[in-house]
Amino acid sequence: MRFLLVLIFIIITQTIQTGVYANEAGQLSGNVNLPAESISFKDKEFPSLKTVVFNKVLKNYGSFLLLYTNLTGSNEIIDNDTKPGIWQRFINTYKSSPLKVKTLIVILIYLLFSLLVLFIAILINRQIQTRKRRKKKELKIEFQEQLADFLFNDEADHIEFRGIDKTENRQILIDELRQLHSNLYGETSVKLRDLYFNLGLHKDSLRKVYHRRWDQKAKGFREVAQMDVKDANDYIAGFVNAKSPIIRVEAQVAMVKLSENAPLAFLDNMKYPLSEWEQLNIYDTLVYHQINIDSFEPWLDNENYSVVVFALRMIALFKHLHSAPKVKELLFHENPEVRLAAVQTLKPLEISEYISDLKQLYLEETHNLIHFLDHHRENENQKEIKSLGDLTIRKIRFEIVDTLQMIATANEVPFLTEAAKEPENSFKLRMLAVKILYSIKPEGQNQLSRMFEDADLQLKDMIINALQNTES
Amino acid sequence: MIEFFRSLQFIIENGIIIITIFIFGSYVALAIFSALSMLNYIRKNSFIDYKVLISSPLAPSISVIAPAYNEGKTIIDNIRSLLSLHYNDFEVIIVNDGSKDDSMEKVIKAYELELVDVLYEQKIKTKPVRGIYKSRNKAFNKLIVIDKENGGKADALNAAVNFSQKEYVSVVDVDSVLVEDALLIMAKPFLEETQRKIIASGGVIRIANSCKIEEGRITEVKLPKKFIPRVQVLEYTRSFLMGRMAWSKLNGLLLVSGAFGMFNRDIVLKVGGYNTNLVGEDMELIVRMRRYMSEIKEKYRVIYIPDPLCWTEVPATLKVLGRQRDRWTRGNMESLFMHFKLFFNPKYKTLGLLGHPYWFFFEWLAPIMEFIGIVYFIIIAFLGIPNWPFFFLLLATIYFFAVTLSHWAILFEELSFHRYNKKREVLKMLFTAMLEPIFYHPFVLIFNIRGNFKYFIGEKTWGSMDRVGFKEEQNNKAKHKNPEFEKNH
Repeated sequence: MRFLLVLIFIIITQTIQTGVYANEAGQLSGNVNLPAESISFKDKEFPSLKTVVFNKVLKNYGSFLLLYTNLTGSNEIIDNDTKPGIWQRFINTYKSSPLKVKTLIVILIYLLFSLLVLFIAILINRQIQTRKRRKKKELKIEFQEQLADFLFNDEADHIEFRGIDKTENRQILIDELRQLHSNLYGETSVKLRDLYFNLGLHKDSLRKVYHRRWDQKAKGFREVAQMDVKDANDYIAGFVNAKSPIIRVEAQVAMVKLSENAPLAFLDNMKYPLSEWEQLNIYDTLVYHQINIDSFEPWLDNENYSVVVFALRMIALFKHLHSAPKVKELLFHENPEVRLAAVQTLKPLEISEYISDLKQLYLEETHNLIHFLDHHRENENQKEIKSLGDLTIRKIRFEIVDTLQMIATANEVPFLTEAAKEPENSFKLRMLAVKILYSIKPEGQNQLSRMFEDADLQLKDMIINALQNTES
Repeated sequence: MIEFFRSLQFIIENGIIIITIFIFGSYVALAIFSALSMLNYIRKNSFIDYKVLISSPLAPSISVIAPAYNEGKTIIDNIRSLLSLHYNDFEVIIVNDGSKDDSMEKVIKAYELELVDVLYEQKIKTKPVRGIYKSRNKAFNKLIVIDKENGGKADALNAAVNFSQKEYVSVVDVDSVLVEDALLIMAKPFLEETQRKIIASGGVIRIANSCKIEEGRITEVKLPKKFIPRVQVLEYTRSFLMGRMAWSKLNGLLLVSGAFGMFNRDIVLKVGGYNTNLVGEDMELIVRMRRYMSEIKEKYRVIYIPDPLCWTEVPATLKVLGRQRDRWTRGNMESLFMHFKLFFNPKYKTLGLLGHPYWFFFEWLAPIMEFIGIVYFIIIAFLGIPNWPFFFLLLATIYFFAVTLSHWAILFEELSFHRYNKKREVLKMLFTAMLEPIFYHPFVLIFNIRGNFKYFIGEKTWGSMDRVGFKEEQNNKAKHKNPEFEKNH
């Protein structure tokens, strides 16, 4: 709403123009047979207030009269027979106007026209959409009732759906079938799928799969995946590395669902990093459809680090204990995200024999952190550095200590003591170390008592807090 | 001398024409860009199943933060609404910012809260925290209440950011109503990006005045009955659907509304949290986060979600609207001047070359120029030298341009989310668009100028927001007025 600004400025320039070209204004007044002197500012003597007001009124009157007379033609004393019509007079006025005015008139006419069109379009659209929605709602309810009857009434072996000769109505039916199919198992699920094929709805889904528009394609991938249409598997496989992330994720999900032998084979040749969203969808498909993967180890050596991270996460989620030795190797991977995922993978597996490796990694990460901070700190007192690079290293160190929570023994007391005492460590990490120390009885608790005397203020608070919370 | 004035006039006239074309053009360009982005977004999300996020162990963790000051009238319902959001790994942190009413007692009683002894790091300095409360009832185990001394909204948010241990923090006005899937929809963009870090995402804010709300949920959307909230529906539609959508696509978004937004907690902590010395802390945080990311040369994005996820009550009287708008103006100015280094600075790319200058010229400078122009015009009109026919021609053009733009916004809404279902409502919106430039815009301009004035004299109060309270409004009960929500500085 800053248009008024423009308006005001143009008015200002117009007023300057009017002032500077007072004589030209005289010409304007000439058009309406007003004496030029009446609006002239060329008088060298200062006019009286009465004259100023009189001039003002006359000039304003003159301006209005100009517009009025130009449009109505009332200043032209012409015979009624030859007097031009209003349209002709408008065109005459337009032609005789300066370019600025002409432009404005064109814009104004365009705006008026588009406003009218918009106004009507909005109302018509509302009418059409309301009717469409109502019809869709009605059909949806009707289809739902028919499908329920078909599935759960043994006598109903034949079913006919109203209006499915139209594509949009068939789409409503496909959506209903998809919805139901994803919630049903066994015989009913097969019955539903057969109906989908018998009605030829799979052809609609396949048409979408081969559609050139990306959103239709993605929708098609989803439909065939949900309804187990395997005719287009080879075609869909070509899109697991598509440039569009939407197509990519739908293609990946479809491959996981539809590939009979190797549902995750596409991970071998991933061109792009596997996003968290893609990982989440693949995992969901594996779980929802109970697709069993014997081992995720083949992807732990993948060149694409995001695939390695995904495989590690899956090992943790599906508790593949047999993959632990291979995961251990990745603790010292060159990529910090992989190292972090490896530690996080070992945590739920609770394998105490890897404690020494984890402690070794902790030391290495401490070294990395010190090196990183030295490199990024402008002075010694600077607490927060201007980089995000330390975040992953800090997370790895925290996760290592957190992993020990479940498996720590008295042997870990010296290590945890160091972690708790180190002021460079984050508050969170120190607090966790204190908490774990407290859980190791009696060695850890004794160590906390010994530490208390020499502890800094923050550590003292932590020890007191751990003590109080345990007592309560 | 005359020659000099003629040259000056020529320069001004042509300059004005260029500015005119630029302003009109930028609005049209933003509208077109928004339309394309919107179409893309709707197509992209039309078949997405957000349910995969609900129970996935791979979904990110979120702290929903809601600061509250004297919200006793609505707080119980509002917390219930937040607790019933569809998401798995999330917690709701309510910060009682030293309320003077009985809101804390009400919450303790309703949610069976008890004091807990938790030690956590105060990474960002805040006013003293009196206590942390959690519920004895397992049904409310996602709820945490931080009771602290009054320090203003930014201070309350910082206290919650300190306490949170989740990956993302979602900031919500406690009196806003979120749709159940709000967190799912908001979290998704953070998971999709692999090349750039998503540092924040902002949602569209919808107007809840006159809507039917039951148990903290919108059950029936209605167009506001009163003119002032109704005209804000148009204003918000234009701003969110036609402006921010385009800015998000250009990665030039400078503002995530304080009513509902989601942030990467690590980055918020890295930049030191909200600035408690400002009235426009929400915009300043985004500008600071963006600036930080540019300075450390990390690729990043601020995302905007057009889905109607958050519904909030807007001012229904000119008095309250005035307070809100002059605060917004001061907030804009704070961010713009505090980060003036960005202005046309190529080092900051889109932020420096497009985002900051646009806000500087169109959001801050334009109303001032408009005001000066009006004053000047009044003087000129008094002297009686304007060219009135030209004036009216221009006035009509500008008026119809404004109305046409609003009509486009209505069409966007109709074709996208279509939240106002009654035919009468759409007609009302169309006619409201015609009245807005005459009966609403002048007031907004005055409030803006007042904000500028207050900024320059150094006033830093927030101003109060008279909340009717959704429940009370439906019951036609008397209006409730919160005491002044002032910052302690």
